[in-house]
Amino acid sequence: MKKVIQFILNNQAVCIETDPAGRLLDTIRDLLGYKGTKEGCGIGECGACTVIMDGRTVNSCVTLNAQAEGRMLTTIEGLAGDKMADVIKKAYVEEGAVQCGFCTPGMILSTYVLLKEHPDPTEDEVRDGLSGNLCRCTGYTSIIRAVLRAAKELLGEKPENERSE
Amino acid sequence: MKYQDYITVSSLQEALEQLGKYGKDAVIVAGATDLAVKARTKDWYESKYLVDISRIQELKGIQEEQGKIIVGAMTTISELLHSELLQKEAGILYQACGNIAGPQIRNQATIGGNLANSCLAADTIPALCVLGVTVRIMGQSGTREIPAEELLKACPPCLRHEEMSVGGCFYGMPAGKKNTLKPEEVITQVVIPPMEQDYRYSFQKIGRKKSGCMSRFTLAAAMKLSKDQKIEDLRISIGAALADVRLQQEVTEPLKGHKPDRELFHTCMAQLGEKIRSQVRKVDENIEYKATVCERLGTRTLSELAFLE
Repeated sequence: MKKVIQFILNNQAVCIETDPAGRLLDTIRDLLGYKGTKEGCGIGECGACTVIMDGRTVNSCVTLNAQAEGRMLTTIEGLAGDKMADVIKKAYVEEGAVQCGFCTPGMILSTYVLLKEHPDPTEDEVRDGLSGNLCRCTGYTSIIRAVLRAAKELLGEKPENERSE
Repeated sequence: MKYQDYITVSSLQEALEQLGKYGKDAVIVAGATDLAVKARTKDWYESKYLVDISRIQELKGIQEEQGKIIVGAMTTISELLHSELLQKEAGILYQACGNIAGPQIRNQATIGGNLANSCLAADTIPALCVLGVTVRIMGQSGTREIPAEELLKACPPCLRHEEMSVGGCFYGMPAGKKNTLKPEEVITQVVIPPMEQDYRYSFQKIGRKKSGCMSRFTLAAAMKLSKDQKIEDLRISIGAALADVRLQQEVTEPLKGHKPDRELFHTCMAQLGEKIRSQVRKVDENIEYKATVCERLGTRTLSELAFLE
């Protein structure tokens, strides 16, 4: 069963004919070719499949294609060149928060959304904000350091009166 | 996923038309976080018509109406956590929501879906029972409003479902089996009476991890002490350990009028522990663990609510 579904992905309009009850993850990876979004568990528990939908993170493995209709989606590829994402990525690299890299796209997206809502998070807020993203390699401490480092840099970078919303 | 058709509706009227048309072959899609996982393990929905209600505007939003909080069924768990009104007036639900899964799931999962899925381990449900909420339901014969406690049914088979992970759920379509919803009905709103300021409450969740896990034991408790420091009201709901998530009135009623006392609370929670054990013919490690947790965590929680520790 196929239906036409339209949405914006990484600032580009997408119009596809696909199974409305199929997984958004499969659409992103197989139909549209964005391999940065990973499948870790397939049941919405690990966060490797995280994408941003209308400003909020969702697990694309439990999101149906129909739910993306008319929405703005961002995968990790969509953050390329974004200044805030660049700071986050640099902090991850500097703190050794990337080992195998499998959780990283999801982590970065969750970090991005977290810092937009909490530009000056406490460690607890970081842990809570990333609680939907599992990592088997790092033990999380380097990731938390990276997020706090990115937050500091993002706050310090912009002068008081130029800080955006 | 195998299914017959996927119909996205944009109004309640349209939804009711489709639900009426397909009756017991209609399956409602809200946030889809439970449905998408269940669909992976079994072809539950092969003969079903998926009716997507997520775009219906009337089902969204949190409002105050005649002193009560009206929450649209499509309100996500995240939206509940962003509501100052809820945090202030229905704090126990706010606490419960913070324990659900992770941010990504909370951004999609809905309160209506959590209720309609009627999982014994659902985190909002014990809190909703303690708050004494009513649920508005629309169907072919109009709207009805019933206490959450009348919506839910006891479900002993679910106790066999170790850890109750979503994928292995025995009920692809819980309507009518784990709750009293008729196939052509849809939950539209949850009506929450604000908890009086002199109630002290607590929501406790035990799971294998600090977050992102199915509950192994949940306790929602609220206590009101009278001016002379006696127990005026005590409301307890236990999730993930009993077939029945409704208020444990049999056990809490006898405590009314008594002075709060650790021994008294221990007796009460030990009774509930025995109730947990009595549900199975042969007590297993899982049930034994939950009964022990019920006794100890329960006693501690009630004592804290009564300022005893």
